[in-house]
Amino acid sequence: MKSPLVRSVPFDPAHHSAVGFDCGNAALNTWLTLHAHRARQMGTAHTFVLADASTVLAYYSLTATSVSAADAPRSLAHGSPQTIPAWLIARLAVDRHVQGRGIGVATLIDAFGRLTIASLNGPAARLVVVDAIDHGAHKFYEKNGFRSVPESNRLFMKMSTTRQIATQG
Amino acid sequence: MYIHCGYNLAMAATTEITFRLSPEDKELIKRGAELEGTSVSMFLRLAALERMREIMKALEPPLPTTLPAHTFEQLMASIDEPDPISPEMKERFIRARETLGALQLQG
Repeated sequence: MKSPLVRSVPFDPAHHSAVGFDCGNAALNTWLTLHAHRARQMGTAHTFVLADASTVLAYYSLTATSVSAADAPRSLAHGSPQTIPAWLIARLAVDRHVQGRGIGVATLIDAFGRLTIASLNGPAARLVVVDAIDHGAHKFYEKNGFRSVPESNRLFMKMSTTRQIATQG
Repeated sequence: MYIHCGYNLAMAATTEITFRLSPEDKELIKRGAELEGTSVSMFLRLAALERMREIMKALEPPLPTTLPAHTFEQLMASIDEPDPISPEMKERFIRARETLGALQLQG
């Protein structure tokens, strides 16, 4: 995908070295090293990297999901959907060597750009959901406009907000 | 060095896997089995099955997200209206876009 909104490329283990990637979280390192390629083959998640030659600086993985009301909302009587399609940023990680330079937010912006383009030319989604792997990640997403899902490690943002952030300025 | 281990933990072990490994790794595995008070065969079978469970969990599609009904309803009422973006957030996103644009990427 070539676009001024997006600089990441699909993760390709034949070209990108995942072995040296270290974001400080073993689960996120392992995902890139062992699972990202298999998940693409299985069609359960697509992983995109910001890479300098073969060195992965940061990555995120995307998949489709849905968001539902816990109970039938009152508006159901008016025909509003009870479940809506959403994108899930399942993982987002930045290598330790480049942390502290704003690359985390830059990676998030790249994901927003990719999702904006995908929503215009592909499947519709009304929300973006993120899985926060720990408290620090939760704070990161809250600081960048996501709202917490109660009693969950997930947060969400309207796709309309995502689109505005991706295209502003 | 060779290690042999039975294949199916739940059912009768009627087949086997043979693989080569370094003497150092073999000693480590034997030590691990001793620490857990089990055989090398059972140690390897349990470790492999646990690894497989981890892989399957990592590759599973995500569970859907559920919101409280009132939150969902409020969200749907304004789903096409972007949430307000604070000046601090806006500034951060502008910087992030500059950072993204300035990255030397050849991948």
